[in-house]
Amino acid sequence: MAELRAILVDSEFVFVRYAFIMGVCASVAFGMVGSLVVARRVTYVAGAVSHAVLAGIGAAVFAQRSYGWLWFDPLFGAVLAACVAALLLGLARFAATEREDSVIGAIWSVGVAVGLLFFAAAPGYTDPMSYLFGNILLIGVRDLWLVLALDAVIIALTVLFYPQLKAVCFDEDFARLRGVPVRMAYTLLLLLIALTVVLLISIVGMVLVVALMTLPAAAAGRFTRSLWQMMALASVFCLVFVTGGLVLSFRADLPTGPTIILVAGAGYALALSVRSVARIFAPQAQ
Amino acid sequence: MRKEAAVRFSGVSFAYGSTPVLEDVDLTIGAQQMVCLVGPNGGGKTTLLRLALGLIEPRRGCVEVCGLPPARGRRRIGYMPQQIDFDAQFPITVREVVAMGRLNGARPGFLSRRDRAVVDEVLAEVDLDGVARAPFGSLSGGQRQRALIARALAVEPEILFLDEPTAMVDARSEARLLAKLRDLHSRLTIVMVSHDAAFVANLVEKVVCVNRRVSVHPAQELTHGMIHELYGDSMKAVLHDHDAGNVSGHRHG
Repeated sequence: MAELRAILVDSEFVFVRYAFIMGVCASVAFGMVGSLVVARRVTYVAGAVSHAVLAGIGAAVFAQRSYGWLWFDPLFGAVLAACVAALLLGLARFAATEREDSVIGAIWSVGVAVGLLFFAAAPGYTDPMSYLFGNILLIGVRDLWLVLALDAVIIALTVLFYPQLKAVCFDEDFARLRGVPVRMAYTLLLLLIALTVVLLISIVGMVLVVALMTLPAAAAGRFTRSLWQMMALASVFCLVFVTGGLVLSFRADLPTGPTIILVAGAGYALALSVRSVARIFAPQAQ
Repeated sequence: MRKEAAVRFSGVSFAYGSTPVLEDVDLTIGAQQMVCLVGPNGGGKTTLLRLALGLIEPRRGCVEVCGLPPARGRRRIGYMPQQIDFDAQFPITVREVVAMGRLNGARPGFLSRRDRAVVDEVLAEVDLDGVARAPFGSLSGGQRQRALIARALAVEPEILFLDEPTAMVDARSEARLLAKLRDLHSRLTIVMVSHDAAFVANLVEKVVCVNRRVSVHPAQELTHGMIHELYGDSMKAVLHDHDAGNVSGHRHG
């Protein structure tokens, strides 16, 4: 702990400070939206959006290098692609006659293909590794502000519309009867997932997004009885997993994304074990 | 003065894809009546409720709730769906499920003091105040049923729709539910779907038989044989006497 504190105030390791601030702040959004994803059982939606994001990143890289559109940051491209993917998924659910899982599969793989083609067409070489597996240590101060703004939007929308989101996740029909605009609320949920995916990609990359979105929430679900409790505990777990993974990767000189995911996986396994042991020793109901 | 009909179906037909479920249904349920929909699986009982709730649109005909289109009138309905539709692992407490009855459209924010008082009141009314903070998924079948009834009551409805209120309920819970419904009938219109004709016969005066078309009958004793002849089903205790009385409808078959 003392070592981490020393690193955080050391001006030579300013990138670690940024990574830490981002991990701490973003954990709240991850915990909140991850809990909605786990409770509503839409992990596959997060998977599709995270992969579709590569199309936006690829388009931004291509536009920057081919047309000199330097303002078109890959992060903007990612937000754009994630939101388009979310809206398409919403359309597939409510308007199209096509099976939802087929649309999810199409968005998932077409997004990756488009992204890779943009990378190939862009002048110069692009290493997709940092997008695929993330590198929180590459985050600059501008990225940090953008990511914190996204974080604030996600938290504000989730808190503001918590009753509607919960109702739509638990019982869509009843929510509709109570006047909740169900399509709008479900689309809001998809957009929240999309924005959270973009946040997560900066930390663990698109391939590992689903794990960091679901493992803290799934672990929290073992110890909580309501959605808001799950969100709170998942945020704490996410904070522990991200900072734990960050410290471990820094000390052992390992890639940050995979290390964070392994810590999260170990945390989830521990949560399952603790719960199972507690159940074995719990007094039996007569 | 004549009371406005609580629910009215006029010439309603509905089909799932190319499979017709309801054909040319005319049915009027008066205010403060207690009516039971009976009939075989797939006969269209739940579809009738869903049409009145505006969750599905009729292919033909018109549905009104308190004189309004279902999308506007449904805010006056408390609805208890079949509990089989729920994810038992969803992280939600009994109190939160009941509090969903106080949702008010897209209005952001949390429950008001009055909302909380109503939730507490209906929880006590169905004897679930002791397990209000327990996970909904941990309740027994009968308790879940009561929680969903409490949620419907939290709406402070004029009309109560109950879809299979006695499914998965033991004899003791059924007796309590019976008493509760009798009590509620003094202030609400109640429309329920049930396969349990014995339960229904003790409770309602009129029974609506739904099997693609509808017919309305007073509820009295009926033998297995007669029900089997009508539905090919094992309903227990409803006499089909074709005196429609205050509830009107068409004969089927």
